[in-house]
Amino acid sequence: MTSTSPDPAGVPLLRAVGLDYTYPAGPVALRGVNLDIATGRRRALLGANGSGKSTLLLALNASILADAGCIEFQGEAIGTSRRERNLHRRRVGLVLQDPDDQLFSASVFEDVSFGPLNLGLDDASARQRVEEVLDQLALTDLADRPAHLLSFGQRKRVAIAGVAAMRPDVMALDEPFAGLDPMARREVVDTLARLEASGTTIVLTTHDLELAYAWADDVTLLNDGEVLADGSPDAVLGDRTVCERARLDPPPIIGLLEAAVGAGWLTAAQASEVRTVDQLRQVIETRSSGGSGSNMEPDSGGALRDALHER
Amino acid sequence: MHIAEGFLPQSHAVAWTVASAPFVVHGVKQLNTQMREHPDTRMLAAAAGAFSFFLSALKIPSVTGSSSHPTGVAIGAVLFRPPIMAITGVIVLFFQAILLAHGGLTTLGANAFSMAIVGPWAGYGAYRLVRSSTGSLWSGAFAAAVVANLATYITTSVQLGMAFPEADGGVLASIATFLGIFAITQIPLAIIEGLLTAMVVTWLSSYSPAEMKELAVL
Amino acid sequence: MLTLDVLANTGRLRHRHAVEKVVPALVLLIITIARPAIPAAPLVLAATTFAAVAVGRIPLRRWLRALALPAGFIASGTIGIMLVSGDGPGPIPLTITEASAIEAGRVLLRSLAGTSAVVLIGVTTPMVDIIVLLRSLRVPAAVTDLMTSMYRLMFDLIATGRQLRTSQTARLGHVGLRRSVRSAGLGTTAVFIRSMHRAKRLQIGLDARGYDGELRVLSNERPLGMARLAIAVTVAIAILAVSLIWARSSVG
Ligand SMILES: Nc1ncnc2c1ncn2[C@@H]1O[C@H](COP(=O)(O)OP(=O)(O)O)[C@@H](O)[C@H]1O
Ligand SMILES: [Mg+2]
Repeated sequence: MTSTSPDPAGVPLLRAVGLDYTYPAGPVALRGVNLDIATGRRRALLGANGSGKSTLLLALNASILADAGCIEFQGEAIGTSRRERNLHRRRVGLVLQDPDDQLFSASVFEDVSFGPLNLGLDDASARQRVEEVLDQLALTDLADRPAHLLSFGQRKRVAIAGVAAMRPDVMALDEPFAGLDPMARREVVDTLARLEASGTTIVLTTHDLELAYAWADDVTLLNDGEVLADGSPDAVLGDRTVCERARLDPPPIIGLLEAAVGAGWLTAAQASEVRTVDQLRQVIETRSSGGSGSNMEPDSGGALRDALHER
Repeated sequence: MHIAEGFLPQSHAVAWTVASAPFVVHGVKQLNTQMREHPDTRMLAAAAGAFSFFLSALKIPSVTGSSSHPTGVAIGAVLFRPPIMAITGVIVLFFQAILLAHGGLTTLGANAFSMAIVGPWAGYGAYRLVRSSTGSLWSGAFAAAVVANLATYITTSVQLGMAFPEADGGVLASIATFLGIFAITQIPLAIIEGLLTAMVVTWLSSYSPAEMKELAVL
Repeated sequence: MLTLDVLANTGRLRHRHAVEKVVPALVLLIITIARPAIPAAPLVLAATTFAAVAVGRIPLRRWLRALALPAGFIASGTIGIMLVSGDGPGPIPLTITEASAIEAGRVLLRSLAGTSAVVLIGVTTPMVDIIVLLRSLRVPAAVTDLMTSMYRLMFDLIATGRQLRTSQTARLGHVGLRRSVRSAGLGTTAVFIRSMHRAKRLQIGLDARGYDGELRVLSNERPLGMARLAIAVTVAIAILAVSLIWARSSVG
């Protein structure tokens, strides 16, 4: 998605301004974090374990109150009262990393109905909303299952459905791909695409840079509670020193693209269109059909290709 | 010490249910108050109940070679107080009946009386007494579990003795018989659960002091 | 994870309205308790087995196994009824009389029949539906909410406990009584700490979805099959009738 954002100039949908946060009797988790999330743009927060990604999502959804700085929604700062925070949470939904931290109810249907009822919908509209979301996310078959009889990937999608049913403007997802096998990961990527299609803006955390490179429009690199870099995946992840400082390995696709451009297989303009190893293989194959390019190792990113077939 | 489904004649089943009811109603009131005043402790209360069920599904080693189930009554009473245990205990007994076929529905009242009411109160009393007189958390927890177990076992024996009086000796002789037979398994079990509970509570207070403070144990 | 729970959630009758299953089973249970063991108990046992195996399509072997565990408890419990004080053959002053043996046999039968009625609920009715039923019977929300969250959390703790136990056993933590008790204590502590942390994060998850002190949820709606309910209750009443006729003819 490279379309420009429909937000009014200078007013992003969701913004963090100078956030500081220290856990009670714990470490400093956020240091002066600034972040803009624009409508319709995919944002990935990257960083090593403990860099503050999860804490930042909790702050974006007003689940924790920053010690300094504030969260703005469409240019308006969110207050600290319980009422204002609850109002904000209707617009910015949060999906926790571990679905078992989120699914509290005995069955899938019950769990997904919790958010819509809290929005004040009457039973009939809430029921309709739940059915819509389960249908949208292809979960209808699981509606009356108890959560403990679902696979981890299914529980993860149900947790997403529970938040999606509130139809938030922004969905913040903590590590939505972590711990999933390729098939389940692909299902989650599908799920996100369906939510985007219905107008939800997505911000997620991950430490999988390869996936972030392929998926995101904008990335933010965190280290030790600070924003190290913010920008396009090419600009941020192409910067080796920044990645090293963040204690992360840049995705292999970046090195491959550099090499391909260096070898004259691709122009720089073509390279900027390529996001996955598989796309790179296809470009090279079409360019040099029957030529010397086809001896390249095919598809080391098969799983990723599956995961990204939507794009 | 569950009394199995169908064991008690109907009059006894009804009587024990009636006897337990006020305690359970009191527990529900306490729970309601707690949910209203501290809505953020909702999941903590659920965790307490789930933990009790977990304990009852756990097999602990016992001297007879076979394994037995601890009651978990003492840990619950020390950590969460007897009134809350009255209602979570009833729910646990209900889950055990339906999900584990352990205990029963017509005997739910009698089992609640021994395990969700007498056991927790006796254990909690012993805990307070021993803890304040010796100052030792370990001894307090040990005493809580031993006393809770023994109180539960005696109550169950009385309940069965009343239901099945002997032709000659009557109710008292029958109670003595049940006490004697259950002693073989219940007294060693009480001691083992005492050790276990003392270990768990002291470890918790050193590994997880924040939680223990929240629960007002420390 | 728990056999009865899995059977209830995967069985053929899982989509049926809870009332269709719970009411007939409870009627059978009441008949068992209220009527003499002969002939009520064997008839109830037959009826529950028919309902589980023929109607619910639970494999006979699994049904019997589900009854076997409580049967062990029941059998050991009846020992106390069979033995009465008196001069026996051994050194212990306990003996068995004809009357006490008959009484023990009656209780055994009644207990087995009653248990089978409860297990019938357990293998056909998902706990979710039972809680919905309790809610519609006006059990206070504080109680049904607590049941819901407990049910959800229990399985998490059981799974953790099993993993811990496996890893302890793999490291020889359960060799000998002393070490066993210590390992069990360590495992229990770990599970408790885990349950507290889980509870805190669940609370964050609830808050993030607009929790305001109440756990309101909607349940799946299931149509109540009045005809099926009527048939099941009729069978139960027929057992009651047989029991009454039997009583009159043996008196007369
Ligand atoms: N509940 C908590 N209590 C205390 N410290 C915490 C808590 N959660 C996270 N932290 C600490 O805050 C820092 C940032 O954590 P987190 O936001 O979870 O990072 P990430 O999601 O990037 O792995 C880490 O040092 C972590 O140990
Ligand atoms: Mg994290």
